[in-house]
Amino acid sequence: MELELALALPSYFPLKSSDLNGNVDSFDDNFSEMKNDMISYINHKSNFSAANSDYDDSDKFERKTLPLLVWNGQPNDEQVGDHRKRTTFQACYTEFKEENGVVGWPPIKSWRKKQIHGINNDVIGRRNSMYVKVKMEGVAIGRKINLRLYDSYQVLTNSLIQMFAKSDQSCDENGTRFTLLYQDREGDWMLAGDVPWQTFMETVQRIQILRNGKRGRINSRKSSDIS
Amino acid sequence: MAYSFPEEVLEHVFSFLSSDQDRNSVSLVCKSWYEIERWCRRRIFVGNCYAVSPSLMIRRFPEVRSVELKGKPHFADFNLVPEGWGAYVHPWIVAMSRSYPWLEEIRLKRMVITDESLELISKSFKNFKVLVLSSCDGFTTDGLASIAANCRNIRELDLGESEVEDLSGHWLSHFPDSCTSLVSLNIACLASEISFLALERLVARSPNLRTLRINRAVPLEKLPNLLRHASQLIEFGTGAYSADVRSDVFSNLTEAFSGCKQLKGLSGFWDVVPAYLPAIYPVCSRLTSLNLSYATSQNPDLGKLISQCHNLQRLWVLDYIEDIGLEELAANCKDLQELRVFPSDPFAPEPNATLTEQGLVAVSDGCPKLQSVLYFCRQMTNAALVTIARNRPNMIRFRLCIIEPRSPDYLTLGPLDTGFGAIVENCKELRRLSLSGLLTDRVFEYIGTHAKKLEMLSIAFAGDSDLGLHHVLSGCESLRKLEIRDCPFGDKALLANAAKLETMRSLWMSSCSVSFGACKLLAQKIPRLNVEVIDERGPPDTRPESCPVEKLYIYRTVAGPRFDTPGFVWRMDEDTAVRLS
Repeated sequence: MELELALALPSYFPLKSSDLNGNVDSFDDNFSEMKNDMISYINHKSNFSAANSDYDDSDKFERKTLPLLVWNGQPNDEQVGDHRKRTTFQACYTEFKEENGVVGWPPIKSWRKKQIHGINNDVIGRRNSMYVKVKMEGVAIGRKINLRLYDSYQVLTNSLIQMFAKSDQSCDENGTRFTLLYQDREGDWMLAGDVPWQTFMETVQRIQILRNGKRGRINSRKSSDIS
Repeated sequence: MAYSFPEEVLEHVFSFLSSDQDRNSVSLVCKSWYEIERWCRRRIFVGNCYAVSPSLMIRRFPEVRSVELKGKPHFADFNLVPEGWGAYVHPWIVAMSRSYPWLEEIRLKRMVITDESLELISKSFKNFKVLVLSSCDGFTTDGLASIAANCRNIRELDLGESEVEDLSGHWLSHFPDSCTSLVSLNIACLASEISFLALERLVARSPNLRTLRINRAVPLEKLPNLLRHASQLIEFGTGAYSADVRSDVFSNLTEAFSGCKQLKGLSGFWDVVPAYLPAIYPVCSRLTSLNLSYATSQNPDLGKLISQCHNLQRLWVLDYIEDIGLEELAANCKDLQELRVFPSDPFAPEPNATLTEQGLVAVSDGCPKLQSVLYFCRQMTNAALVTIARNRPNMIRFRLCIIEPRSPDYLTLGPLDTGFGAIVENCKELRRLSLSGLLTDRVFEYIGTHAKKLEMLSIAFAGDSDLGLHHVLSGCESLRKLEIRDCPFGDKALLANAAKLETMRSLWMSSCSVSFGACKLLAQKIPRLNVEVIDERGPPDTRPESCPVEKLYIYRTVAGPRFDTPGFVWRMDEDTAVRLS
């Protein structure tokens, strides 16, 4: 059962507004007035028949807001028209940033971040995933794939072509038209398939898929040229 | 005034009231109803552990069996609340152990619970049955061992997404052989390996087990055995769903899933190997709930799986589902009520999946029962939001996160005001809303005008002035929780609507424009509000009063100021509380 804190009561009573500069005395007046009202309200409510006959008085108890400052309809009147320049906290202090920019944005639970994105991943040492980025020539959106899901060049190539196939109608199911390149630890672009699968897995940093016919000129190029 | 009804009759009548609100209304009718109601209240929900004290709760409700408490502000989930902020449950446990010997259930959310508290729970309540810890921290597997060893009638142990310090996987073997009462066991959040033998034996001797969620450390090869012992399961969370692809493992697993005739919910699937996904095909048509949000599986495997789950009501996935997968979802799952799409790589500068506003539009069009959405994406338009709003006026929870802050409508390059405006205008029952993208004060005018049932609102990087906040506070009648970050909202809107804060559970504002002076004034004038400034840079009173505060947390309370504030939290009532009370 929800525990009702009975905090809404005071705001059921009509209150005079006190302005921002209003002193504590005037507030205390309001407060004692509020207390009196509350007592009469409780008496009123505890008398069952009276509550019925006085039902029409219920207007008196409608919710009102107690402003500490009267809203005059003009936001930030001290600098109307130039409010974007107001000092916000962020404008003053920019040191609280994460690597991605802002702390806590996008709003993803830290628990989920640890699970999926491996941030602060010291607890879960044993991971079965190894993500690398894959781009295909002429396709705007790249992918990230888990290489642990594949056990040979053949399976990897087929999956990648299938993955990119729907974004590019010119793809066919037969991998011979494409060439897989990968960037190794030194940053050099190499031809996938030239080394054993295990060696490839140890060194691969990212993958690029090229259309055939351009293969010849890529072989000797360095990372800076291609990415 | 004398009543003709005996108290017992009223008590019996009240026992049929299941909603918290109805019980509260009953207790406001008259003194005698208040008395009768408080003695027969068995369940308590406290939305903020600092809004009331354990002693106040116990004094009013002496015969409680079930307590649910919530602690830290919601933004703690996103690391915005510094470590050590508070929400310690120990004082509650101590007080309840003295007064509620028959307490059966404790549910905690975002609270700090120590092993000492867990031990006290395990030894104080003779008939303790349910312990749910959602997003809690502060405890280790040793505390869990006390619960396992001492709570002889435990029915439910759910560790939610808690941060448990994993000292040993041995704690599971502390469940005595006589413990056969488990209905629900969720240990998915544990990082280290557990004693599989102990788990298997526990599962085997729990004939009533309906929910089982194991952790990532349990390998796929172990699942068939576990499932064979628990064919009555309704919800199952797998561990790591990966293994070398072998046909005997696959057929074993398929057979085990097929044996679970009542399975309705599946989750887990860490490190998924797509080749093993077809093992769950035999149960797909029965599933109503599927959580693939830890499964980095991609299309076509993902789409193929989901399109077989015709009775799905709830789906959580990564953005790998892409627009194309959501279109399949819309075509196949007509009962879908809740959809959450999480980003697979939120910190990358560019998208790594083709997930746009189109996917959500498709689902809103195809799934007539859709009422709850959490959607992370990288582009949105007003037109899409308007379509979604018109398609789904039954929406209750709508949380949209466009990953880049202040992203405009990417077609018109204008703000998304009218889009969100359409959501609040069409969805009359909307209770929860999260905004993102480029937004001006206008969107808050729409919200204040239309969102009359809105209870929780999250705002980030939006608005241009105090007017925005003023619209929300003066217009949203049902608002209970408001959380704001990085918005140019300041003193004026806050002070002009000060009394509104007393009708709400809490207000969080970080990186906004509220001054230290306004915080002090607010605390002085409304003593039933606890106004707390969180500032890790040092005491805020060393800076000018007009200087904006780093973080501000305001909540109503009948317990007075709290006394467990750490060094970086400043209570604004400290010098005025005594004078006004």
